[in-house]
Amino acid sequence: MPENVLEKIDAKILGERLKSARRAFGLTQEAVADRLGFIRTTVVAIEKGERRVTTDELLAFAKCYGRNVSELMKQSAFTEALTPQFRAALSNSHLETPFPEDQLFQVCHELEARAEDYLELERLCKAPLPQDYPKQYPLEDSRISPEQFAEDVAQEERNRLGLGDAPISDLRAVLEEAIGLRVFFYEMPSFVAGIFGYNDRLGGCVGVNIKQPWYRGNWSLAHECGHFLTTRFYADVDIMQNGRWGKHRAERFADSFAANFLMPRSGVNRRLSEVEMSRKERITIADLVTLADYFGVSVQAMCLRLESLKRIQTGSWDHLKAGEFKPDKARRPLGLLRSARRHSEWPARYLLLTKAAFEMGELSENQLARKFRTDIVSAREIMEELDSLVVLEEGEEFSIIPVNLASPVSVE
Amino acid sequence: MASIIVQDACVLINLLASGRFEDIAGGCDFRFAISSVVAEEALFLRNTESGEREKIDLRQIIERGIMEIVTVESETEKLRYIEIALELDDGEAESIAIAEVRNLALATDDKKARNIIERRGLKIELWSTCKLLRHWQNKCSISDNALRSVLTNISLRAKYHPKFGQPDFEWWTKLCTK
Repeated sequence: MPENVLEKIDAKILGERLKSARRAFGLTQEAVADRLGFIRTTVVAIEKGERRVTTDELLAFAKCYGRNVSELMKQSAFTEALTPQFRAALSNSHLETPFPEDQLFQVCHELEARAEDYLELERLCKAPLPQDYPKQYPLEDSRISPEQFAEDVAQEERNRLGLGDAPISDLRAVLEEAIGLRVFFYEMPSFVAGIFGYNDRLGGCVGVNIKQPWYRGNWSLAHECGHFLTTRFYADVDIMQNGRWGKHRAERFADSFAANFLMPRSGVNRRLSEVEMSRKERITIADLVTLADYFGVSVQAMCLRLESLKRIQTGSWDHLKAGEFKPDKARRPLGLLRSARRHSEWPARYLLLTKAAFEMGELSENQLARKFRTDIVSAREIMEELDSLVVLEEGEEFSIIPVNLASPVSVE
Repeated sequence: MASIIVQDACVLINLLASGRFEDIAGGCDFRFAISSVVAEEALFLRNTESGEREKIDLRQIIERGIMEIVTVESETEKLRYIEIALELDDGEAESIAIAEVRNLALATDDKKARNIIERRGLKIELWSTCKLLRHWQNKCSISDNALRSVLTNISLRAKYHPKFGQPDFEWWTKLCTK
């Protein structure tokens, strides 16, 4: 008979995990007891860690909650590191229209699960994420407006990161590699743009709705970074509606930070002056569209930025919108239509760590697929893509040499 | 040789992608089984024409008795299952637990699963996709041409082939480039 692993696991910890799994599934202790034919006090005692769970009970709980036994046994499972923060953020949001809570919590859980997976990969590969977090900028102490404060912070961060006032060609890479944030793009309900959470163990974690256009995704990313810089210990869910949330100081700061970080005053002014001087004409719609593309933002964001910098008339965007202006229609003749441009779902480092862990035999194929939220065959394809191919010509012969992107460049 | 081979999800996908699953199952001198967790997993193959994912439907091969589903029953099996689930997913853990306790063979290509079996000193007869295919070829006198077509199907539909440096890499590559 194998040793009873359940006797070795801390009953309190396992009880906590079972409780979290039950709550995530939306069942009361009584409902679980009814379904499984237990008495309620048994469920209570197991969840409190006062009574050890038996093998049959554990298998029954897993089936009841639609979870794998391996998930329930995993150390990092259901730690709910970020969830309480999100719960607090949502209950303080005062939105005009209430949104389905279960959908919102699903988004929060997913960010947490992805960050936990990332952390596990780092542990398996013994490669912790290099972090260079800036100091926290205390928004509450600031006596100037959130907008003014945001401009100062954006400038300071740009200087710290050596970005000057040039456009940021790959914002995600800057946030991931230079700062050390964990950034994930994944499907969220259309009313959610992005999400931010932080704790000491996982660090700063950002989720962005992958269904948004590329430009809008950049904005959401910069917006969530704004939260990281100021209200780091408060989780945020960026919901697209004109509720009271949008008027909070922290939200005003985050939006203004996004504008200033992506479109720095001096950089935009200089570029605009160059355009104006070359033609000696007023700014055209084509200029606006080109400028927006140059700075990696939407036409709307650029138009509003130019309004705020007083380079074009206030109300220009409203005027364009009233005329049913369609940015993509304008982008097409300018050769700027990049509808296929998408943010990658996973950080490049996450992909490489997963590959390394799999090749070291630290992940099974099922676990590999789970890391990518996909099936086994699709996971194999991702691995194959990472082995990019080089084709060499030798006389009339062609040979294919697989290149392992995770292997070191130097040869010992 | 064991009378039943329990396949994990990865080997099952490969053999289903071959287009000859029934022939392979019928031509070998053992029966195929999968664990109940694997049977409930959503498994897919790549459709070579559309490029889309194609969901695998196991009902027919189960109903026709080509393969059976096994599940943990005894306390020993359940304990082993839970113990291995600390390191592997449920499908893999259940397959290993059943194979070990019932003295059945296990077909897996998974490096981690094989490492765990070795590290824990579990006495399980191990098979792999390639070993099964070679056994089938010898047993049923399958021509190289026919086997090449099977390997091509597995490469295209299951995206599987042994990696460079693995024991069957040369055998596979040689056969495919003949």
